[in-house]
Amino acid sequence: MNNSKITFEFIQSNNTIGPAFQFSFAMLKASIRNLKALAISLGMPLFMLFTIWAPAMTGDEESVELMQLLFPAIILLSAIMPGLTQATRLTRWKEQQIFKRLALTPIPLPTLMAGTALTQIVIGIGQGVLMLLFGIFLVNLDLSLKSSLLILGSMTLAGAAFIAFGSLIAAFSRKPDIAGYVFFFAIMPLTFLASFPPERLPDSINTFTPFLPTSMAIELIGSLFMNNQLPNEALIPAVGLLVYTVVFFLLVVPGNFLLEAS
Amino acid sequence: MNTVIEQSSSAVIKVEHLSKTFGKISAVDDLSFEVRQGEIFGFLGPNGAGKTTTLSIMEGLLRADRGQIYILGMDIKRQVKEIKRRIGVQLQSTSLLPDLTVFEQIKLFAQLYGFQPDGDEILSLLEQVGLTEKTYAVPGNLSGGQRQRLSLAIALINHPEIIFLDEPTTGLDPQSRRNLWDIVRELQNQGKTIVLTTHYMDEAETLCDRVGIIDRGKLIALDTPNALVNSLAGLSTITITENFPLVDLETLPEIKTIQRIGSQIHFQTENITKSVRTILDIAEQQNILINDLYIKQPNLEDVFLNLTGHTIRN
Repeated sequence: MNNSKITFEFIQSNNTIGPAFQFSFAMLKASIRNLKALAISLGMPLFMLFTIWAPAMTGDEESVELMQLLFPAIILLSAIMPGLTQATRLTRWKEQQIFKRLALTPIPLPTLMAGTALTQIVIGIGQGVLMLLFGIFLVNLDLSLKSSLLILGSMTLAGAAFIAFGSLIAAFSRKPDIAGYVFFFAIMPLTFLASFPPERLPDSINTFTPFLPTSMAIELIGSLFMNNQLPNEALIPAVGLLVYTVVFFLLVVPGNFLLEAS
Repeated sequence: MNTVIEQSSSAVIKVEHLSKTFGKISAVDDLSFEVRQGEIFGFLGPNGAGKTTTLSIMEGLLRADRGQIYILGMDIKRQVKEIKRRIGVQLQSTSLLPDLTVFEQIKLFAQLYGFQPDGDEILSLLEQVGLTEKTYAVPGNLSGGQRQRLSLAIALINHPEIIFLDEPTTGLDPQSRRNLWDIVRELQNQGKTIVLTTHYMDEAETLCDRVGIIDRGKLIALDTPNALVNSLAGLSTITITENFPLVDLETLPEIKTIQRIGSQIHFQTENITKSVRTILDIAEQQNILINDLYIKQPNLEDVFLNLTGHTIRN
C-alpha cells in the first residue's frame, strides 16, 4: 500500500464515525453473502406469520382476529432477534480473540461495537419491511405509510436496546451457545410479561412491567398497529428504550470485558 | 538477574521496571530492556513465562501495574492511540473475522487505520506474504500457515515502524516456518524493527539479533544468541555409540565429564578438536571401528537449562 494516500487529517481529527460505518458495511456485505443465514434470519418471523396466517385464510373470524393480535408480538420478536445474533456473534469474536485484533487499531472498541450493532439494525429493518409488506398485502392490515415508517422507527429503537442487551450478555459469557441460552431465557419471560393483559397480572408485577424494554416496545408498536398512531405518551417508551440502549452499552464498554476470552 | 538494563541512542522501545500481576500470580516481574531500531529482538521462554503479557502491555492491550514503556519516544500510558498507528501486531491467535474474504479483511483493517487502499495495493501486500492465490478465500478455507501470513499482512497494512509477532510460527510445519522467517528477514531489510516471542530455540538462534530469555516473569538474560551461548551454555558434547575404553579418556584435562547412557557415551569437553583427535587415535590404536560420532555445540537450550535449572519444555 505504498501508493495509498494516508488520510492523516482524517486520523488527526479523531473521526471514528467513518471507520465505524465501513466496519458495519463490511459486516453487512458478509452477512448478505451468507445467503443461508440471511434467509433464516429474514425468513423466520415471516414463517411464524405464515403459520398463523394460513388458518386465517379459511375465513375463520377468530383466526383473523388472532392474526391481527399476534402481529405486533411477532414484529417485536423480530426486533429482539438481532440481540440474540449480537450476543452469540460477539461471544464468538471474544472467544476467537477478534476483539483483541480490533483493539489494536486506533479506532475505539465501542465505535466498532456500534458498527456491529448497526449491521444488526439494518438486517432488523429488512425483516421489518418484509413483515410489513406481508401484513399490508396478505393480511390486509390497515397501515398508513406514516404508521409503517413509525413502526420501522420503533423497531429500530427497540432493536438497538435488545442489541445492547445482547452485547451485555456477550461481555459476560464464555461460549456463544451459553450467551444464546442466557439471552433467550432472559428475554422470554420479559416478552410474556409484556404481552399479557395487565388486568390478568398481580399488582406487584404490574408495578414494574411498564418499565420493561419489551413492554415499551410493545406499547409503541402495538398502538401503531391497532390505532395507526403513536400512543399518547410515546416519548416515555421511546426515551426508555434509548436509556436502556445507553445503559447496556455503558456497562459493556469500560471493563474491557470483550477483550478476554474468559 | 532480575533486570537487564542497556542504554542505546537508537532504542525505539524502552521498558523500565515493568510489572504485572494477575491475582496472586506475578506474570511480569520488574522487566527492563531496550529494543534497538532495525533489529529482530526475540523473547525466548516457556509457555506462561510472561512473554505474551509483556507484549500485550507494549501493544497497549493491557495496563502495567508498575513501570514505564516508551515506544518510538512516546509514553504508552498517555499516547497509546498514536502508538497503535505506528506499530503492527500479529497476535498469537490469528483472530480473523470469519465471514470476510482475505481481500476484504485487508481492506477493512486498512480502513480502520485511515487508509483507502485500491485493489492493486491489496494484491501487492498479499503477494508480499505469499497469499495471492487465496485472495477471495474466507479464513475457514485457509491452512494454519496461510492464516498466519494473512495475520501478518494485516499487521503490515499501516506501514508500521515496529512489528510485534507473538509466537508467529507456533503450530506451523517446517516449510511454513521457514517461509515466515524469510518474510520477517525481508521486513528487517526494509528497516522495520521486529519484536517477537518464541519458545523455539532454533527460531531464536537463527532469526533474532538479540534474545531476551524470560522465565517466570523475569528477564534472566539478554544478548545476541552467540554471546549468550558463549558465555552461558557451557561445554560441547561428543557422543559415540561404541563400546569404548573410558579409562584412557578419564585422565585427559580437556574432558570434563563422561557419562554412559545406554549404548551411548557422552563426553563434555572444553576442546572439541583435541578431544576428537584423541578419541580417533585411541580407536585406531585399539582397532575400534567408530560408526557414529556426534558433536553437539552448546545452544540456547543449554543456556536456558543453565540459567533456570529446567528445560524450556518443562
